[in-house]
Amino acid sequence: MQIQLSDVSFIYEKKKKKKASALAPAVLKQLNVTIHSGEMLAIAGKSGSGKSTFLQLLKGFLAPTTGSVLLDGVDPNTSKRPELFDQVGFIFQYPEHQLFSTTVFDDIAFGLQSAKLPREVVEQKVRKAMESVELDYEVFKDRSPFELSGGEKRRVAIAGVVVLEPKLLILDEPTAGLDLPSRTALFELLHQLNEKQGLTIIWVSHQLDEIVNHASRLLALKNGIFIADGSPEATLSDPVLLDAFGWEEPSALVVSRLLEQLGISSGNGKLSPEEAAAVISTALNQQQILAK
Amino acid sequence: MLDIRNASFSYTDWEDEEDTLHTSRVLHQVTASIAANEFVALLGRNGSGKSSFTRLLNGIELPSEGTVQVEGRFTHDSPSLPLIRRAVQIVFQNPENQQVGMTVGEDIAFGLSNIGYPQQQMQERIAWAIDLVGLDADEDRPVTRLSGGEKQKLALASVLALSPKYLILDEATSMLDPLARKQFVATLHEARKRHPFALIYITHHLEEVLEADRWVLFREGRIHLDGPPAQFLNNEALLAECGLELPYYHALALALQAKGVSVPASLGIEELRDLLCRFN
Repeated sequence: MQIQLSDVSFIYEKKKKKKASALAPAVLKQLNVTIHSGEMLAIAGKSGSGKSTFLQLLKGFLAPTTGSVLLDGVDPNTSKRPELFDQVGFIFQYPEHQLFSTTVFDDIAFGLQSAKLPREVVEQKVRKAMESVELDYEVFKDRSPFELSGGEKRRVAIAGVVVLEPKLLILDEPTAGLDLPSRTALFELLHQLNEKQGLTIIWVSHQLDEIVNHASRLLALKNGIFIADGSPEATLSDPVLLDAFGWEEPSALVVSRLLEQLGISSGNGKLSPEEAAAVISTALNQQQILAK
Repeated sequence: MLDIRNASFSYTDWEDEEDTLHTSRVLHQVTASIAANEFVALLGRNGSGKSSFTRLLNGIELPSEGTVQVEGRFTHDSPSLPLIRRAVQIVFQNPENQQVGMTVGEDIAFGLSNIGYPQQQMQERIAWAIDLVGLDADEDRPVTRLSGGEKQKLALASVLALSPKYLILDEATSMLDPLARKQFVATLHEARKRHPFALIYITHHLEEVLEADRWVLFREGRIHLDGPPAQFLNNEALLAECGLELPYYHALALALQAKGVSVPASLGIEELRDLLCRFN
């Protein structure tokens, strides 16, 4: 799904104080940005920078105070076609807190209820959604979501959104609270949804390493403005931007750049510790040979 | 001191369709102690028992076997519970789960009222707590108008106002951006300097707890290893098995050592530059 924001501002209306109806400062200020179909886009910024508000505009939970949000070229707000927002899947922080059914099947099927589909169609869709998040249908369908591990619960919550066949998937800090194997598995899943099903994926992250490893593009939001829009590698190695956010450059970028400065090729520019060790030891060996 | 002896814990039983009773045992015979003012990290995979362990410490849950003592008082001795709960406070992952007031001031006042804090000193204490955590909001600010990071600081302020002796942070920084996380951790340590308390810190990110006195690694409901961080940092295989990732430079140092390159375990970018420049 292509998303286009033109001059989008958003202001939360303050409680009317006495006579004057005061307006709060703008949370989002004149944003112009296009997100292309099939992107794997990370959004970063401080708490309170407007990230959550931005995401809520894309799902239609909020309408912009000024400007327009187009989904595949149509403005659902002004064209009175709010159903277009149904194509946007939204996964909140800690989505497993919202699981409530007695079985995994019922939880995932919940969103399909309003469509009044025949039982076998529901089953088929739930099965497909569970497969796409790599939960074995037969093994998990009758289990209680509450007895699953943290990573599994989160998969159930994601399946409950994927089952509605969105074109855009928005995730608010999807790896918060997950251990490393669950985080790795979750990103494998997101890449698969992105590559195989062509889902556009937008996620908010506070983990810069995660952004470097998984995003094709990074939008960095500060005080309601995107102050950076580009490749994660370029953005997260820019000293001015890093300083603006108080971020530390991810170590993978620091080490890769050091190697480049010394004339040692660093491949993709974001070497893992193991890759960096291999490159360094090879370089040291070659130098030793030359020295002899 | 917190003293946990042979404590086991199971979550509530449930019955399946054949009326068979199931219990899920999450802690098996755990023994550990945490001294006053210690900084202890609790590590392990999701579901390894860390969070359940902390819920035993302040008597929210009672062990099915074994005992938990807080400063000499048993958590199964119900008259002691008010004192125990005051001494051991928890800040959870999701600050919204523990917000009770409509405004910042009300939220902090709630816990203070519960412990019978003198009404005339309440305002002063609220201001003290707001200042201590560096929350950029006055006490009349509606809680709904706080950002995620601010809500987490408020949760911290609300518990620090009660002067806990043991503070448990259950992935309390997982919703914060890197700078806010750094500030939050700095705030914590600063607060500990001013008013010492033991810090029990659950995380999946080792770089946040390199300064801890001890790491306690949970695995399938048991304590697998309990010792200073150095004891863990050279055991990448164990950490990986338990779903933990070494901080970048530690992993790089180990990988270089494995390739026969002599580097210190506490490798930094400067050491790395020196190493490479020696040859260039």
